[in-house]
Amino acid sequence: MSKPKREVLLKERLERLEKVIRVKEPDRVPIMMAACFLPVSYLGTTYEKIAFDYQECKKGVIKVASDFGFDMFGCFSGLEGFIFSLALIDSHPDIAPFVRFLTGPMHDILQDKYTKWPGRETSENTYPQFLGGKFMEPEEYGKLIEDPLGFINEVLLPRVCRSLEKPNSAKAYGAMIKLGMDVAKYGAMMQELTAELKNLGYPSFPFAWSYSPLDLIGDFMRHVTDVVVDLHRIPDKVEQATEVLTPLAAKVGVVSGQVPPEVKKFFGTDIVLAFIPLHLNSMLSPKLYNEYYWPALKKVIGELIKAGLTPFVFYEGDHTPHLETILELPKGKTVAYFERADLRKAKEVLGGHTCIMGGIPGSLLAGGTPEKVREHVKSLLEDLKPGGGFALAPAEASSLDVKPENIKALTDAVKKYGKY
Amino acid sequence: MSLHEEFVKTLADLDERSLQILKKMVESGEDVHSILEDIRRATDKIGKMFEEKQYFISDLIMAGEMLKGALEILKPVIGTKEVKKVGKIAIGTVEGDIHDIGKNIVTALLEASGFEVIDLGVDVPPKKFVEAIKKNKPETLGLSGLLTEAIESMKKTIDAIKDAGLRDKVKVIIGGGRVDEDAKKYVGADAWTRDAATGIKLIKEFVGMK
Repeated sequence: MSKPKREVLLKERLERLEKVIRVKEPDRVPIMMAACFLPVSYLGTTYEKIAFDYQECKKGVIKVASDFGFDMFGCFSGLEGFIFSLALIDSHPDIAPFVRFLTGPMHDILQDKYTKWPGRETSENTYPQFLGGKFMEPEEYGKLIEDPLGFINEVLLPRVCRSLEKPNSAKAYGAMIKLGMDVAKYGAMMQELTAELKNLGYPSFPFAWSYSPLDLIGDFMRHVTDVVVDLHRIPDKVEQATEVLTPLAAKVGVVSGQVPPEVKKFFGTDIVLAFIPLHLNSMLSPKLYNEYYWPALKKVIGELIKAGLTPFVFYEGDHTPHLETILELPKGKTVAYFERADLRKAKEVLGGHTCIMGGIPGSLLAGGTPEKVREHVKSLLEDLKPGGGFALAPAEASSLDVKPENIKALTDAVKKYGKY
Repeated sequence: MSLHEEFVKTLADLDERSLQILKKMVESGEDVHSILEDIRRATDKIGKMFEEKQYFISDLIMAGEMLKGALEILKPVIGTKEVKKVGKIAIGTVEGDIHDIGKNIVTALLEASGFEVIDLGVDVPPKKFVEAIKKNKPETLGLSGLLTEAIESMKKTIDAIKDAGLRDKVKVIIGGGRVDEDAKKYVGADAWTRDAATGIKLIKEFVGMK
């Protein structure tokens, strides 16, 4: 494709995405692809290679982006690591945002127990996984509430990371120096990748990072099941801990969203998306959600909007029981990316109010046929397309390591049935 | 209200006082079989409330925690007593996937419902599932997995069971947040579920319980 043609494509795609984010009608429903890790069988590589070699990963993203005509393609090549950004937010706000994802090499350096990696804890071609775990006892809520960052840095992380188990040791200092070096490498790769994608006609948005406060406890401190038990046994403690974590989670978002004008110019957009992945949301009953989860999250979202950011909330699991709460957020200011909520119901509740993304289940791409994919897209778009404000996206941002003919069928179907 | 009734009610209400009542019943020498029947009744009630959308996954997590605690209290009393099981199931998270929250809730609910559960753990290769069918002869096999990649792994597992000539010996149910009818057909399973309560219901149907 010639350069002018790619530039036209870039402009078209960016406009399409911007319109949808602002809940307007674009020229066609965009398809926004995202993957935590690349499709390895398609690329003829292994998870170990793409997870531990940044250049290999960059090459893979470019290949997938060139082979399939998406409107945007994002690949973080890392697992959940927000706690590390949070840990540094007060003392080192300038570098805190850069340790938001935990990559394979960073796992090697920190030796964390949150994540399991191919060729390390699991076999070489296994998908990298975040498990979290229990690293705090119920009696320790008091300490967390009294001094959250002190507790996270001095008690929690030394339990989580084998390299940091002995504070003030050569092992711990060395690990932090190595981590800094690796973060620079990862950041440089991401920067090159964004520029190369742009040359290919693929737009990107600057991203900020934040988190739902109760998930900080469930994912990184007490484990998902234990925090649910805590909500029954010691709800006040959980609530107080959530309250002290709220301004910190918001601060990471606001700080990481301070994008300099020249960077905005490079991206060609004023929109800065603030990514917030939710985890406990779909497990909680509406009662627990409304009492302990949503109020803190809503505060964080409010702070991000005040800072001029567009919260890009990934509502994991089935968020259908809590859809109405999204109406409490200001109109047109956030993106609701759903894993497998009932999208037709979501459209009914949120249509015209909030941008909706999602709709492509991994099971369909993995187990379906091109014909089934086409039918699915056609029927979904009939209901979701009217009025704009909708983008197709994979229901779960996993590897997309599925039948390539199904991905092809997907992009063809959007182009055929997605036009306004 | 009798102690039995109070026990069933508090357990189904997810009120942790139920475990105190249980201890009282055990101390006063109540018949173990009737207590197990109470636990089964409470588990049924919990499943029903989930079905009716009065309970959510957080409630099943709490239920799993309490049922585990209840069976723990009963363990020494059951001792070597012959307790009739309603069915046998082998369950595991398929190869390449190490998530276990769903599997653990299902296991707790199944045990409380009177099933013998053989828990094969996580990241279980197809070969191990085949061996478990040969060795333990369960009527049901539960394949769990959260990742999209787990679907391919479930297919490989069921293919291996077919190759070993054992497919007609077991009913296979797949479970996990991302499975559905498409996934069930693709992997060749008999049933699918995204939640523990529905899973228990389907497994009971397999063994001819209502």
